[in-house]
Amino acid sequence: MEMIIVSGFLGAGKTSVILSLAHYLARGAGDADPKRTGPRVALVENEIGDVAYDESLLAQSGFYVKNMLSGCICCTLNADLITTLRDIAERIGPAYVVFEPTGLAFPGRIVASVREFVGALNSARIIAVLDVERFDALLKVSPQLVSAQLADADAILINKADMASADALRDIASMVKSINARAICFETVATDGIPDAVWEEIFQDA
Amino acid sequence: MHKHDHDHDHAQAGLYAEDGVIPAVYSETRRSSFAPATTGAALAGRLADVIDDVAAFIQERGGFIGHIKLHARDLAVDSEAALWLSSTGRNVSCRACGGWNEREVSEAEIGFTAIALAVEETELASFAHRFVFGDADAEAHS
Repeated sequence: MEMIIVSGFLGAGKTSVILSLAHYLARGAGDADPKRTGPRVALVENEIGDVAYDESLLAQSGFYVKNMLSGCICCTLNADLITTLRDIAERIGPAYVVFEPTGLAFPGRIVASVREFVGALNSARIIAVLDVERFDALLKVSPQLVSAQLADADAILINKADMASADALRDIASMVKSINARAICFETVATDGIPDAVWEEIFQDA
Repeated sequence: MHKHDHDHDHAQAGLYAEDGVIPAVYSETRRSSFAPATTGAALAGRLADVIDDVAAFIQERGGFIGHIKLHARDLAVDSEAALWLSSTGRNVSCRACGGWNEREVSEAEIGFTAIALAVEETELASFAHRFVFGDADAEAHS
């Protein structure tokens, strides 16, 4: 089972990215064993509050979704996540599990934590989603979190790219590279769908 | 609403949230009745206006919107119609399924979550509750 964490601040477009990614993986693409039988992808959501907004949206598209409503972000659900991942591995055994943490999560710390405790995990990679409209403001409001979300990523989607000028996108890409030169970056408009070529490059790069 | 007694172990706190940043969270789900019934499209428009009002409330106080999300589900027996609205303070994005826009909705379950930085949680909760649910015909659901 391979784990993909789709991180990014609140409102960056993570759920739209996951919808596109889940459809791509469910079609049999990606780099896990293509001969595998059974469900290829399971989704795990961690939402702040009492409302299963993202879960209902993703489930409506026909995917298996497990939600861990946190209610409170100051003491969230690491143990629950580990239990959930073990349970999914045993009961469903998907090729991929895609986890959407809250927009306030440090994905690198989550990876370190689950790698230690989930034996069924073959790999874990992080795809960060960045909102071009709010990038400058977010760096002022929450610099430590936003920088960490980018620094820990294997791939970065510069999302809502249709809302920024070419110059602004170039500046953002430069800033992103200064935070994480290792990650591959793409400009996306996730609500319009993400081209398979982007996913192919991300999974090829793993 | 952020209901939490904080009587358990906080060992996992380092996984989440900027050091020293405690967001304000208001989250509540209720059933609402509409008499006479309203079309899903009209209700979506009214709920989008409510989201704009909550966004303006946060921004006028110098707060920063994490996100505002609203999920509505038609409670008619034969209906699978649902609505999803979300905003980070500019546009309200809208998704619907099950023929939501065309349906006559007489009762819906409405779930609302607003997360913001640099505003008082109690103030946010009080304002959002009043604007989203009002007081008249809402029946506590959760």
